[in-house]
Amino acid sequence: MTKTDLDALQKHNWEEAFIKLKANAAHLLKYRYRGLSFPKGRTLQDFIQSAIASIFDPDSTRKWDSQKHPDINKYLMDVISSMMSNLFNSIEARTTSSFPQSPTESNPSYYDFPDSPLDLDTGMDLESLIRQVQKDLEEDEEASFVFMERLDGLPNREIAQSLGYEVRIVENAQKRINRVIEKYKKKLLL
Amino acid sequence: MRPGKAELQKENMLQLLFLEDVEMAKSFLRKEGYNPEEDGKKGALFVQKLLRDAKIAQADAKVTLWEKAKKLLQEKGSVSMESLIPSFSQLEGIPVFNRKLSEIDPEDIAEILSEQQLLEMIEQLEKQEGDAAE
Repeated sequence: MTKTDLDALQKHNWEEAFIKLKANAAHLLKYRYRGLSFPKGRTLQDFIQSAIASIFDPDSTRKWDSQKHPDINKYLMDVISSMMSNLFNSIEARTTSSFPQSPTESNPSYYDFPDSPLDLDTGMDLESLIRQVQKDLEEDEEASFVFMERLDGLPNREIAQSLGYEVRIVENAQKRINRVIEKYKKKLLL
Repeated sequence: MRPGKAELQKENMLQLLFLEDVEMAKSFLRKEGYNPEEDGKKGALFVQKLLRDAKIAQADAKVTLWEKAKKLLQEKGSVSMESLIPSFSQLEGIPVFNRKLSEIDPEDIAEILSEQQLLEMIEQLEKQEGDAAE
């Protein structure tokens, strides 16, 4: 790890970052992996800590580069998601019969459960929120395209490459997207 | 289990919400029975330890590099630092007239140069040594 990257990590707000990472991982654990537990009595906290430790490990294949991935929180969320997928898919390969299956018509999406987080928080499910944000961005072509790419999980730099925009354009579009999302959050949380 | 495109979009939408709004992340964690404030503090302490270890490892690596550079410099005698590091005269803490290693305390150089610059210096010294041997 370079000195610049280490300095950037030192300045990062880790308390807040950890809360965001844990919320995202807890959501994945509950809704994608339906409450599967980690082997050997490990907790979600341990799992997230080991994911963060992996970017400090000089022998690890997961290298954080502040130039390539300026948003460390997004990068770590993707690392955690990938590590969970590797872990639980290897468990799936060994115990297919007990592993939750992908959604089908007879076995609906795990997000259709009534306790999906936004149902509780806002009365609006994720699908409705996505549709509403898309509708509000119809007049803003750049933000609309950026939003669709974000839904595919791409970070800003890759979105810029994919759409042929400058990174600055993507960042500004993201700010406009956030304002639209904020409008619904405020309205719905009242 | 591999989610379909629609499920992935919902996961990414939620990721976006959590990234932008720590209060939403806290609210979700509380509903799931976690204590976000305590978890955040524990997580931050864990990362501080990782950062401290990484800084020590980096400092150790720098000492090792400097020992190697010092040995090569001693073998070479007086040398123009600008021939080793082009930006040497722009470094803070080095008087402009002190261009020769003999005029500078070697320990000061170790303080001023980054690990990367020490590496560059070693590469240059080894290259010059190789050229001289040919």
